[in-house]
Amino acid sequence: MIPAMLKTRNGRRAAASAALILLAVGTVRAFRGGYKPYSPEAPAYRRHGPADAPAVVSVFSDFQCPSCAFAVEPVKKLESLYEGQVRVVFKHHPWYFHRNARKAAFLAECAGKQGAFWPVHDKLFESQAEWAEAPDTKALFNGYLKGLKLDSAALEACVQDPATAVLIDADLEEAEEHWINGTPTFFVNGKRCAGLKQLRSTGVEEIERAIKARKAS
Amino acid sequence: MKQKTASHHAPAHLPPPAPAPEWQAWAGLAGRVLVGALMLFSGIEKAVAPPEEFMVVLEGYHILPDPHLRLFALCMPWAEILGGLFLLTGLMTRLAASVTAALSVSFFLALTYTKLRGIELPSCGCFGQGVHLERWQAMLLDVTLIALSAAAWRWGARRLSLDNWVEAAPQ
Repeated sequence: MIPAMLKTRNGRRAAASAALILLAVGTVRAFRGGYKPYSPEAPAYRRHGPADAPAVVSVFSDFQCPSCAFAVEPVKKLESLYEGQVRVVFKHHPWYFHRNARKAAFLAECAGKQGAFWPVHDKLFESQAEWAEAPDTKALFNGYLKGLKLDSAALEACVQDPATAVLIDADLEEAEEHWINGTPTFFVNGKRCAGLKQLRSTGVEEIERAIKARKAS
Repeated sequence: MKQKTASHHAPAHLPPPAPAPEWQAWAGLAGRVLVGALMLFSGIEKAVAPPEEFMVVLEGYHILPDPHLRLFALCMPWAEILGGLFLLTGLMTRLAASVTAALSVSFFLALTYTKLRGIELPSCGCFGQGVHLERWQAMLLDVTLIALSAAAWRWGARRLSLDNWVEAAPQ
C-alpha cells in the first residue's frame, strides 16, 4: 500500500509530511527529556512556615535580581493571607552575570547556619540597590549583620568552606534540571509558576485547591 | 476560416521562453535554508522548555489576554518548528514560506507595539531563553526573514526540494 501511495503526488506529499511531523515531535521529545517531578528539599533554616502546611511554595531566587526583590512582599502577603497553610522554601539561584549575587547567596546561607537566614534574606533584598554593583561588599555586608549577634569567625569560615559552594551549586543544578530560565520561579506543590504574575494566578489557585483538599480529607 | 492549432501553447514562430536565471533558484534555496533553520531553532528552543517559561516572555508584551497565554505558548513554537522544517526541506514550500512570513510579520508588529507603548522588554523571547536580542535587532531580523521568506516563496521549490520529488511522481 505504501509503495502504491508513493506513486501519486498526494501520496508522496502525505508521506513526506508525516515523516517531517514525526521527526519534529521526536526531536523535541529527545531534547526535552522527561520533566522530573519537583521535590522541595532544602536545609531547615531555608524553610519558613508550618512543616505540615498543605501548600509548599518553593522559590528559586537571586538576591541581586530586582524581580525577586519585588516578589518578597507578595510572598509574605500570601503567607499571612493563608496563615498556617503555606510553607515557603528558598532555593538559591545566583545568576553568573550578577556581580555580587553569589557572595550574597553565601552570606545568607552561612547566616542561615546560625539561625539568621530570613533576617539576612530580607535585609539583602531591602538593600539590593546599595550592594548590587558595589566593587567591595565586605563592609556593607558586615553592616547588615550588626544586631544579629552572629559569630563572625564561624560565618567567615562557612563562607570559605567548599561545602557551602556545594549547597548553592546543588540548587543551581536542580534549577537546570527543571528548566528554570528566569527568577523568581516558584513551585507550588510542584506546579511551576514562572514569575510573580503566574504565582498570583495559577499559584494561588493551587494553594486554595490544596487547602480545600486538606479540609475535605 | 482560421483553424485552431492542436496546441494552445506559444505559436511556433515565437522563440521558447528564456530559462529562469540560476541566481533565482539559489536565492530561493538560500531563503529556504536560512529562514527554515532559524525558525526551526527558535521553535525547538521554546518547545523543549516548560510552557510557563515562554508565557513569562509573552506576558511582557502586554498583548494577549491572560486566558489565551498558555494556549499561545503551547502552539506558537510548533508553528515555528513545522513551518521551519517544511520550508527547510522544501515541502509545500509556498505554504511553509507563507507561514514563516506571517510569523515574522506578527513578531515585527508585536515589537512595534511595545515600542509605541513604551513597554520595556527584558528579553524579546525570540529564541526562548537561548539567545537574547535587543528590540531593534529582533525587528531587523524579522524584516530580513520576511524578505527571505518572499524569496523562498517565489523561487524556493526549484532546487533540492521535496516538492520536486512530489512533482516527479509518476501518477
